[in-house]
Amino acid sequence: MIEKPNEQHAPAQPRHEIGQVVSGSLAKGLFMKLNSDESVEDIRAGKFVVVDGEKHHFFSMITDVVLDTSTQGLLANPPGREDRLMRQVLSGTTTYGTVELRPMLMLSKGAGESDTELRPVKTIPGHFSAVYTATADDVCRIFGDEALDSRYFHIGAPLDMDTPVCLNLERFVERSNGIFGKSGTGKTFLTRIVLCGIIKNSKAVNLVFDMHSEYGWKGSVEGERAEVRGLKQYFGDRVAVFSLDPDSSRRRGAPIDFAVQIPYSQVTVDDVILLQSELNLSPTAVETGYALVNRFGERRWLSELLRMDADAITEFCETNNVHQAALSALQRKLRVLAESCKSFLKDDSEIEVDDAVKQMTSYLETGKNIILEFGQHTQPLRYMLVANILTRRIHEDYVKKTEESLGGGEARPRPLVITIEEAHKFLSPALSNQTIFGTIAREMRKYNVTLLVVDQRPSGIDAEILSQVGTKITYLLSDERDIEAVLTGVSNASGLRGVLASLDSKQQALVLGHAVPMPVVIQTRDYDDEDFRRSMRTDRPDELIEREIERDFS
Amino acid sequence: MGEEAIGEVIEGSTTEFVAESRELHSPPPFGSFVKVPWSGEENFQHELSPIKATSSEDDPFDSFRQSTGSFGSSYRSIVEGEEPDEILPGLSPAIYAVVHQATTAPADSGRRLRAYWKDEKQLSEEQPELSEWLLVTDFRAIIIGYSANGKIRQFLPPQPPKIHSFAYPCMPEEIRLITRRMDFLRTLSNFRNAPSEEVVAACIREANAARGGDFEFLVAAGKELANLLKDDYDRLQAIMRRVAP
Repeated sequence: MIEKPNEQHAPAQPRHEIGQVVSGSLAKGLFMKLNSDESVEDIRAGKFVVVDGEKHHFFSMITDVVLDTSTQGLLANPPGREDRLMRQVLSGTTTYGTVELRPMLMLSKGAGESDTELRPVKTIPGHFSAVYTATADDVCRIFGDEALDSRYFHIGAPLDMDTPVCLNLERFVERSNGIFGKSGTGKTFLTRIVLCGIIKNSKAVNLVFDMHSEYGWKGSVEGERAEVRGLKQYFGDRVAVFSLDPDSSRRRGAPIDFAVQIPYSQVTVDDVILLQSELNLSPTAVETGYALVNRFGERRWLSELLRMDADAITEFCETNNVHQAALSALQRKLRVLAESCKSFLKDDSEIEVDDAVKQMTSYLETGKNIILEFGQHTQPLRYMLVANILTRRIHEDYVKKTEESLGGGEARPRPLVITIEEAHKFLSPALSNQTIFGTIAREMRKYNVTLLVVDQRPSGIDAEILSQVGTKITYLLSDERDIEAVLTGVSNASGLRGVLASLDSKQQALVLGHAVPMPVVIQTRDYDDEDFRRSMRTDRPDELIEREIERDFS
Repeated sequence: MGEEAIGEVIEGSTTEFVAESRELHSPPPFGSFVKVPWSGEENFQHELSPIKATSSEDDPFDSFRQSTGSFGSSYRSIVEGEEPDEILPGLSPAIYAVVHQATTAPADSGRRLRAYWKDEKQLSEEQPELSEWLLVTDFRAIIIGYSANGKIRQFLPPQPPKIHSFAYPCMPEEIRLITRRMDFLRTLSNFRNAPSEEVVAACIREANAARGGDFEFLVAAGKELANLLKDDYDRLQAIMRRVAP
């Protein structure tokens, strides 16, 4: 149940009528004739409006704007450019704007307590119902208010409004989620904002595969400021930065908590298959790999393979009925892999520090959030290998713990959100059945592990997985296939398509799905500005925060 | 009425009347607003009949109203909230019309005039009968509404103007009141016995002039016409071209 609006937060403001409903259907949406004193140019796709029906308020989104005329003859003989009188006379009478609305939620006007619930629309308002722009009250009523309830977290404001639109974080972490958009639209910023919300309100513990080292200590930014703070600077001890490339972190002046090293024994055949296209592996590589596992076991197959000389290969092929060329090819390619990853992927005997996986699970267990920086290792090959190995192990651990808790043992483990960038590489239709990420996306919250997928090419992600994504936050996408992909599994997608294509190229996003009661277009809030720093209310004293704001923004 | 009459009604019907102009060749301008006083208030007491049935028991003002006679009408309308802003107590009952045609012809319709081939001065000296009794100027006006009980109605009066009542020009103040609503445009634009586009345009120009040139008024009138003429964009354009400032 959605809370009553906060009186202080949302002073009653008069609603502004913009038109009236003239036709429509539940299936296709409503058509509104724009009042003659309203300019068509003020009506923007994605704007949030309220239709005042006889018994219900209908909360709706503008999906299309049409120029209409009652007289076709006019179009053949339009008034002259100088004819101001004629233009004004025609505007709103013979020529008028028709606005297409998509009603999303309805709220009974009845005063009874049981009627105050927002419901999905099951009917439409009658003819000539007035349409108003939404007020701060309406926004609070639908999207909640973070001042009243820690479930809600402010991520932006509706178009042309200042009232916060909040995500319901509890619902957010229940499912896998996606943040999509062309590059440069603000995905990383919003991801940071959402992660801050989850950490601040302790709704889940995070594991971020930070391909471009944007989240940990500081991040880069376009525009005047050279950099923004990373999560570590906001949350201190609650965030641990792991690094695959400690040298790079040192050069950037970013303190790290742990240098990650992965022993060969942690690499499985499945991890290698994931890299099929990157390593150009042949289909027989799988069989060859499993033959090695049969012979040497899960933990030793890779180190044994890398160590084999020509004689050993011949001997192995004869005894295990494996094609010699296939085995040599596999060895060659895996040697390339081992060489390119040698700074963090090592033989078990060379490992200097503790196993990264063990470290990570113990951090996560105590509620510490982990950001894994890749430093210079930004090649998809390394990113995918590491992300897959670590996630698989952590997931195994979560499955075990969840099963134990079901067996009556300990409490369920904390919800874990794994953030991955370039997600289409893991979740493509060809690979999604093999990677652990595909499994997590499908099984949803069964084991309390969900994904936060950040991607610029959602059409590259398996449709089955996309349809399971709970909340989608989508910045501008221009490729038809990407738009199609994001709207997979969304009812009444046709209206949203136009909205999606008409977003600004920066900081405007369509939010839809599990964590918001209705789809809404927002101007996303700024990350790491004065308001954001104040609202994070970290453990640091207020004076210190104010002093830093003074220093950084004046 | 303080003003001087400009004509006398010589033919009247529900929708229009004909008046003889006081001066030869000087009818009121085409499209101008004229009025003919009538006895609306006395004759149409039914308009004042109680809107809801009231008895003297539940209406404490009933006896008061009866004792105050005609005062009661506007008083009652105000008290009962029937468009109080429309009540204009100083407004004398009149029928309002818009001049749409003027003719100058022999008074005796059977008589045919001949050309004299003289200039105007010569003609008036040598043929004074022409202006004294032979020729008359008539004008025709379309009735667009009336006033009664301090209210202006933009629909046809229950009865036509009386023959031999005088016609007066409307003062700018009155024109502003009459044209506050745009319903008269429908009456004018539907009138078939006149060049209606010209009448409508001239009438809007008059009303606009009475407002000292108000672009917003022109826009409002235009919007009303746009709704009235719907598919007839050419007609709308023709009218708006004639009223454009």
